[in-house]
Amino acid sequence: MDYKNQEEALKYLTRRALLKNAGYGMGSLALGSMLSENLFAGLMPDGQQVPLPQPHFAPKAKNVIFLFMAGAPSQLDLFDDKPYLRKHNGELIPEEIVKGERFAFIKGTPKLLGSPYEFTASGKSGQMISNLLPHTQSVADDICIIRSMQTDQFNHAPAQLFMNTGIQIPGRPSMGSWMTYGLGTENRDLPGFVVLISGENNPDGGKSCWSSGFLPTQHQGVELRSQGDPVLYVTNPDGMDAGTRRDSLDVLKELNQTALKSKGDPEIASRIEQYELAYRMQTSVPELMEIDSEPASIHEMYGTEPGKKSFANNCLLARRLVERGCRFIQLYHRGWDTHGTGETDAIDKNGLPRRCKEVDQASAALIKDLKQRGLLEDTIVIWGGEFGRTPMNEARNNSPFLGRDHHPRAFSMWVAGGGFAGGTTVGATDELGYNVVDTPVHIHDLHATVLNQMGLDHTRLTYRYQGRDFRLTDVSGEVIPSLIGQ
Amino acid sequence: MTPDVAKRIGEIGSELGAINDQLGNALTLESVVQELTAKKNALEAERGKLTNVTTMVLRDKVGVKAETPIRERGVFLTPGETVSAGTPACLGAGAKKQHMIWMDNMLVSRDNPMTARVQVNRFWEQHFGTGIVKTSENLGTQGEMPSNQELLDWLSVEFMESGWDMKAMHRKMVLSATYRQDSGVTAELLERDPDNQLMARGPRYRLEAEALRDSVFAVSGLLTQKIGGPSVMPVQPKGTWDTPYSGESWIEATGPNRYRRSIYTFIKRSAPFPMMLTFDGTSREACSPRRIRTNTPLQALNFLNDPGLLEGAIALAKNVRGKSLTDGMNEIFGRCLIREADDREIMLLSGLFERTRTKYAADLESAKKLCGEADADLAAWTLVVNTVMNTDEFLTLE
Repeated sequence: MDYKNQEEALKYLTRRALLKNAGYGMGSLALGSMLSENLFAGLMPDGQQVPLPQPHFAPKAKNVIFLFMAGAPSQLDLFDDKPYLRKHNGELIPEEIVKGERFAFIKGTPKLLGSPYEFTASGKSGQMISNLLPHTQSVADDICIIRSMQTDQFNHAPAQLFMNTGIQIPGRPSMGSWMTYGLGTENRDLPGFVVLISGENNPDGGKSCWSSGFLPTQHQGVELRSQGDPVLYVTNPDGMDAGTRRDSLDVLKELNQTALKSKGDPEIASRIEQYELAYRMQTSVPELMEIDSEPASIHEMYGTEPGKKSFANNCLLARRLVERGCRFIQLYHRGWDTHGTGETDAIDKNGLPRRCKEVDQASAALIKDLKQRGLLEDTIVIWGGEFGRTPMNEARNNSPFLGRDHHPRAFSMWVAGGGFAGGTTVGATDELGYNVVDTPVHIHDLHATVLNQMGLDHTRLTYRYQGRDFRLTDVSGEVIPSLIGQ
Repeated sequence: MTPDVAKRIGEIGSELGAINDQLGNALTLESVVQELTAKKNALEAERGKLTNVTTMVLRDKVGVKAETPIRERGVFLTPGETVSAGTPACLGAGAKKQHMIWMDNMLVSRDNPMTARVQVNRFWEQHFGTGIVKTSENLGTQGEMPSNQELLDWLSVEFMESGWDMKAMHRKMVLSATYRQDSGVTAELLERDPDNQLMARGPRYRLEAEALRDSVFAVSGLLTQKIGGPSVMPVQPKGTWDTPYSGESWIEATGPNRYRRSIYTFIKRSAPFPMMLTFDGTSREACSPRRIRTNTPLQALNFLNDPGLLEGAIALAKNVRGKSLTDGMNEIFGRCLIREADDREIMLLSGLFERTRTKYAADLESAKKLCGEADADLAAWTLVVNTVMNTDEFLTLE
């Protein structure tokens, strides 16, 4: 930890300084919010940089990369091996299990579906991982597999919102927003919360998935786009070169400085600084996006294709962002909704295997690459979707393709780095994979644990809005010790 | 609305746009004006007929009485106890039967200061940047104390006694000596009252997203003054609206709809208009009674480089093309900042103009890309306007 920085922060935490600077804060007198108001931004009235807000206790990790598999990957074919299902493949599920249960599509009493894929005990830890994910098998000792994830939602958009914001209704801040609100970001030339999208389309939850909700808007996720401007408007208008822009910015600065002298409003100083930051972003963003500059060995490792919109490219960008001090990076890869209504959304055929191929190598490469650079211990990598899939074959309209419906009661994710217990499997489901029987990890618990590793107490990271203090975990959430080797 | 009708309405829109352009250029030719005006009226009448679609309204089903159960823990599948409408017990003894009218009367009762306080506090916030009670969304026990209780109460009483005349209240505020003060601040004053709660200076704050965009088009003469009508789709970056299961697409408006006031911009909550979001407009998913004003580099990039806003700069540049540097600068300053440029500003911007014009004169291709014409003068003026539109003074109300 940077002690000088901390000292700076403490200086501003005195009561007098707080009151003095309250003009820069917002209505709420919450300390954290005042400090982070002008973040990825700002200057204090005396012209000093706003110090970063401080964590509640010593953090284990500094950054998060969330590889969001939008559409919900099938845990039963990837991480939660169920020999019982294979043995009883095609048999009707016992009626008492599904009685009164609501599914998105399944009607009547469905039949069990054993995974058509083999699993291998991988690494020294011997974690069971599907042969659809050979590269992930090779990092088995670095990842903590959670087989007992639970959510409250079973439709894509609300479930994605739940995973990101802790509630199914749009309008709350997402995890990344809470992070930059609570911790700031170390690179002031880049946004602290970045979103990268590959796969079929944007996630179902839309931009609400990376919304800052009621937090100030500078905490919203900034989309790094693969086409057009990587960051909106970072490129000069057509026909204007960098020299011309710099010339105009120099004149602008003079004009603003004159205004600052005559008006004395510190907001003008902040404005001048923002325009300089914007100019630096015009260099730092393209430099960040230039993955061509990486050596061939790295491209081979990730399976990147420069110039294309791909998950692998985004994984490499995520590493480059972490290197540059970006706080929270979220990748979305949509297309895991394997209902089996056709060949491309089937558990077999050209469905799940193709999706796995798109992400497996790059996900594992990201772990290896972070590790070889000594970044993995500071970086939490999360892999997973918004819910799980049923142990039963969906067989919508008697479809001949294998498919699984939405299943919120039990699903799998993995987490690596940042103090998470690599090489361990946490939690267990019953022999059908229908319900969690050991160490349930609700999404609120995962949020609480991730915040904990970042040095934040999820019950204390609050924001006052409409008369009450809100938090990412709402009124629930427990830090799960077994996830972090305790 | 059928595609044919929609197409015809589109055609009328562009024809009207063309006519309006001609009218603008033909003010002295009486006959032309008459002819065009007649044509315009006919087209507008036709459009009026076409767009006059019947609106479906809700209607109670005969013989069906709606029941309202409590939804246990908010889940719509678990209805609980059936309840009926009434007034909260904490408000005291309201008329049980006519609770709605009782509630209405209570809200605007002369004995209830709350409604007027909330309303005038919002007006104040609108004009001064911050309310007399800073937490304008909450004047209750969870809110902040008013910075000037007497002022708040006086304004509230004035508001009630005027018969709740909003326009009069706005006028009172903007004509007040307090509002009209210079917004400059000394270091000493800043130290003593950083928030300007004591009102020793005039308000000074960055305009909100909508007002910023509108200002660009207003000063450049592009703003469409029309009031009402359906939402429009002005310029926004491609791809903003890509979402699964949705065939909807953003069809960029041409003609007057491109430059309508921002309140008419189409808002989709899952894919908001980027500029609004960047300038604290919020995504409108949750109620946001008060926007928190931020100052970020993304805003700078947006205002510098947004092609939609650049159209405003180009339009204003066309207005000053051919003028002397001093006249041109004064025109730009007059429109954008409502004052003349001083010598130093003219010197700085003339320097920028000359350097830019020289560059573009040697590269007319780039000039055309920037401002649509292979004209180095226009390109240079465009950059000057773009620069002035990015000054703190333009972005800020003072």
